[in-house]
Amino acid sequence: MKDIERMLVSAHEDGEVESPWKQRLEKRLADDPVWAAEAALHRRVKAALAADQEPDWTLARGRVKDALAARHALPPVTRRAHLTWISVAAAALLVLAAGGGFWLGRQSAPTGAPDVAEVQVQVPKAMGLKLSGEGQLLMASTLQRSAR
Amino acid sequence: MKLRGLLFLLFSVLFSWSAAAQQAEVLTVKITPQVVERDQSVTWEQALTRTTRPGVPVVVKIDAESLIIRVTVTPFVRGSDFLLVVQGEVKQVGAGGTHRSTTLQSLMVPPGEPIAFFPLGREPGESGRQMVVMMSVETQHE
Repeated sequence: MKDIERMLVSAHEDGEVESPWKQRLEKRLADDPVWAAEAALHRRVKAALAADQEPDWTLARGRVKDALAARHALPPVTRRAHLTWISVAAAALLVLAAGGGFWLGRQSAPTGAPDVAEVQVQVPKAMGLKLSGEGQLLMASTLQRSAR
Repeated sequence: MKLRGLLFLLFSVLFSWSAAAQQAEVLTVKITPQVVERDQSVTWEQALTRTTRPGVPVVVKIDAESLIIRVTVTPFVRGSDFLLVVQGEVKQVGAGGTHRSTTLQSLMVPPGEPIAFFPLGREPGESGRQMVVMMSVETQHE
């Protein structure tokens, strides 16, 4: 028997096969001993399962209830406050760590505040400077080579 | 769980440390405006040293009678070298009115390498006298 046929027999034994497939299946069960044996096996399994009594869960249920009651013994507000304090302490520690790291970094870096304000210098008079073209930026070494 | 928290704290310390160290990188910019004669002799110069950070400009204003020259030097760090962005603004006041000229140039330079900037151009005038702004950039060490 194929698995699908076993499933079909199981569905029939559970009353899940509707007409007209039900009648055709019943005819097959009547004609085919293999199919009939499969149906009989299902019936035996169902009967055996039905005969077994359900275990007594009362004790187990009681234990679960007690455990849950113990866990919720603290009032919710207290638990929340407890968690808040932990969060605040963790955040403070993190800020301290980051601040300490930043401070250490500043200490290890070269000192000296940048003094980037505009500097003014005065060229002596009568130098006779005048604008003679576009500004140029050169490596001094290039300038020396071209001068030679 | 505890180990993860400790690692996170350690990471925070290291991250902020490196951020602070990078932010605090200080550069020394040496700027020397000079007046150079035709025979290359220097008749006037004024050496200036300023500290700055990458991307922060150093500005030198040179007052030369009818000319006002403003040189803005902005250094950037590019690996072991520096990218120097130099802006020159010249304002010339004469009988014919006010003339303005602006130039913006950049150059990749090794640390300490001297650079020459000619804010008034290199074409020699009748006197052959030129304004040269010599400059160099270095990382400031402890």
